[in-house]
Amino acid sequence: MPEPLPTSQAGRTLQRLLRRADARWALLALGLIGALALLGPLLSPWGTETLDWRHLAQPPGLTAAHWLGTDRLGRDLYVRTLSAVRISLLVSLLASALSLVIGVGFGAVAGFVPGRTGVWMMRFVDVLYSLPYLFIVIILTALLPRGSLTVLLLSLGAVGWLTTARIVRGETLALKQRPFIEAARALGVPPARIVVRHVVPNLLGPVLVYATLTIAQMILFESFLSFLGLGVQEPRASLGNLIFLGAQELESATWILLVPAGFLVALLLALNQLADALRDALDPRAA
Amino acid sequence: MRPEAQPLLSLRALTVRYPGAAPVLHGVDLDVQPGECLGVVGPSGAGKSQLFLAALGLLPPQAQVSGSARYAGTELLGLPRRALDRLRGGKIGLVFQDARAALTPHATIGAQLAEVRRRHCGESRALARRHARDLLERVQVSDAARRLQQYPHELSGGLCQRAMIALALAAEPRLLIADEPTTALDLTVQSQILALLAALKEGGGLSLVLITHDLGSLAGIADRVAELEAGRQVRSGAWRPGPAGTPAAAESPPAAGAALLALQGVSVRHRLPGWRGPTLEAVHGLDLTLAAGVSLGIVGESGSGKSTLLRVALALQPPSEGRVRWDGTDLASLGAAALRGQRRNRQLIFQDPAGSLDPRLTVAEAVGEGLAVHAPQLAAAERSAAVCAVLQAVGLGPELLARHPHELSGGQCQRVAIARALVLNPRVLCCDEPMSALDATSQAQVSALLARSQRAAPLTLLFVSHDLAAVRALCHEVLVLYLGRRMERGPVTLLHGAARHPYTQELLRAEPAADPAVERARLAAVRPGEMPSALAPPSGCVFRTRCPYALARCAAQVPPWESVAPGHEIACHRWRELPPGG
Repeated sequence: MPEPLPTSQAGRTLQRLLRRADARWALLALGLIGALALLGPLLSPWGTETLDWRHLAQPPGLTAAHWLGTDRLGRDLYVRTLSAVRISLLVSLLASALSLVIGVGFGAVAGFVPGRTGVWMMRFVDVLYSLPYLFIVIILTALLPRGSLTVLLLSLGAVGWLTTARIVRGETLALKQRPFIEAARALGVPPARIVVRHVVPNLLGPVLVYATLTIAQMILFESFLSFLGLGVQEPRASLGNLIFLGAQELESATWILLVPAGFLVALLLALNQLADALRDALDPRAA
Repeated sequence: MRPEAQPLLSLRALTVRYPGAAPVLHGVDLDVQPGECLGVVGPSGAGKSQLFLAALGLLPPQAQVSGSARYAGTELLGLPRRALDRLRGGKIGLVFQDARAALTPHATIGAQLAEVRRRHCGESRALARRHARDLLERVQVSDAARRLQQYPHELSGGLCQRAMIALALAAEPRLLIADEPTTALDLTVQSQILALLAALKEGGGLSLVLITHDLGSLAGIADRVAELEAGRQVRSGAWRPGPAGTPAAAESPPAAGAALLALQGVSVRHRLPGWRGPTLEAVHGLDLTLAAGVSLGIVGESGSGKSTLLRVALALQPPSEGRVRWDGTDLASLGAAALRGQRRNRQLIFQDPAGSLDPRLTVAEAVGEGLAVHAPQLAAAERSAAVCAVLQAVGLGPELLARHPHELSGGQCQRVAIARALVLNPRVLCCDEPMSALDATSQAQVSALLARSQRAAPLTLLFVSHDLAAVRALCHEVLVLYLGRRMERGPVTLLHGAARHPYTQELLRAEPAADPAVERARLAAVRPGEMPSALAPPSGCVFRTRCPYALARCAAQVPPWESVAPGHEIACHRWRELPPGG
């Protein structure tokens, strides 16, 4: 073995992850899309809301004034799509992080505390689960100021943690039965250290995979809400409302749909692929 | 044996390899004659199971099998699936180690037996039902009518294994292949199952293949033994005892140490799941004192409360009643932090070596964890020096430091677990069946390692095991438990013929003998009998339902705990009349 062994668990996982070609491709694609979203708009002279009256519904072309064309109002699709990716990524990453933190905390506590407390905590989750999801989001967005990113974030995150909490509690309950947890107790390891050192790392596999999928789901859901007019509002661009506009122009100007849809598909594919590779990499038994 | 007869199963140059790895089996030749019992032994990983799985086409598709496997002249390798299906489960019955896992959990025993009869013998529903009952009676299941209606989880391990054998016999096979059929069972049940297999062989002209890592268990049943090692056949012939692994007996205990551990009226009750689920009493009003430096062996069948007793003594579980004192300090009076601090003095070794190690931690991290918790002042270099030293002491090299548990063998895992305990220099080492998941070679190594650690430091050993040979080798005193109650306690000479309690004697009779003739006689005399459910223990003396000497008095009164001799105590109404023995 020429390569030195990383000492931390995270280092070893990363090493196993990078050994996989599909993981490298997914990370490369995500990195490219992320860099484009952050820096790409600087390369173009156009702004997100600039109207170019001379080029209405212009098709894409590398030599054209607008690389990825314009929409019916003459707005540059390259700049608008990239800023949409930025907003979508921001919203979905934050919402996923929010649901991950709430979900892991709630689920691990519900799984670890002895007695009935855990059961009642999960009943609470069941009640929230049984409420129609979309309905809550619609009410939330209708009651609070429309188009506020914070509201969107909260409504996405508030619902997303329920599944995470269930997965985490189930995993915690199963882990508690494993002899190595008892071995740690017999060794005199304090409960907090057992959770951090033995429970969470062994839980991380399914949870991280689920979190990666959540990001993809959140992007989709954000797009869906924006498509319905409940999410990011015009003139700000999100992948959802760009696709909504594109769908209306489908017969005359297909690129208005294809450009944002292409970015959405690329993002989702890369995230799902990463989740898949991550699941294998998190298993130390993987070769 | 009739040498002129065509062998029933004949393997020639059977080789199994997986892509990108060395062959698992290198050209093995084996014959099974009609009506004979062939024992196949070898350490774990020798390819014993692979051999027969390969012959029956049960290996995963990426396995490359070459050579020849003939059943009564028919080549099995490359046989179409349908023809194979008629043979497996039809002419060839299979019995697996974990019978409960091999039985379908959602179907009753009766339904599973009837299904085989209907599928392989084309019987009607009613006829299949009737035959299912005959089958259970053939494998000596009492109360067969009721058992037919039960699900696998409602049966004990021994009954599950009998049901599994009945299932394998259902289609009236000529050959029965049993893969470690008794490994998961305790000795009394193992004797019963071996006796059953021997009776089936004698009575029905059945050929048997017994795959096991325990050569000793074959003495009374195998006509021939084939030994495998690392995928090669190293020996074949009549049974003969393995290299005598009689480890030195434990040195005499230090004179009259102070009471280290004292249990007083300890009971442990579990509420079973379900609304108003019944209460199971795993340990019942147990008193126990243990002097420092003395090694105590705790023996009894599964379900006798041995492990629960350890868990309570180590404060991994609170007793429902009673007190646990270490050095005179009541554990109940200690706070959580004080209790954790004390844990470094009392370490625990588990039965399942791989399961007791965190799959995500390397050997170095696992062994160093106790030091990180109990000696946080140590610098990283000091800690890793201590870890290396203790690994060396348990016979593991530094090249294993960065390995994960799945990269280690069972024996290595158990030595890592022992290193994890010893690195803290405990005063007490509790072992819960530390060798029962290991093969014979690893068992001997772990046993020697424990004996060495015991001598190196004044270590008090609490040793739970159903392996009486290991108890003889490691312990000064023995405590016999049955249904959560103590039956007999005394010096280790109890296991050398001084036992007075009928239950201790029964346990001793369950040990396989090393002489085939003696072992055959022993198996022929095996008595049926199972431990009653702890949910409804018998009145009076709990052992009376299996005791050959039980009287009316035994059902009426709980026998008192009486002294036979200094250091030897017993709970039996009739000990004065019964001869010592075993």
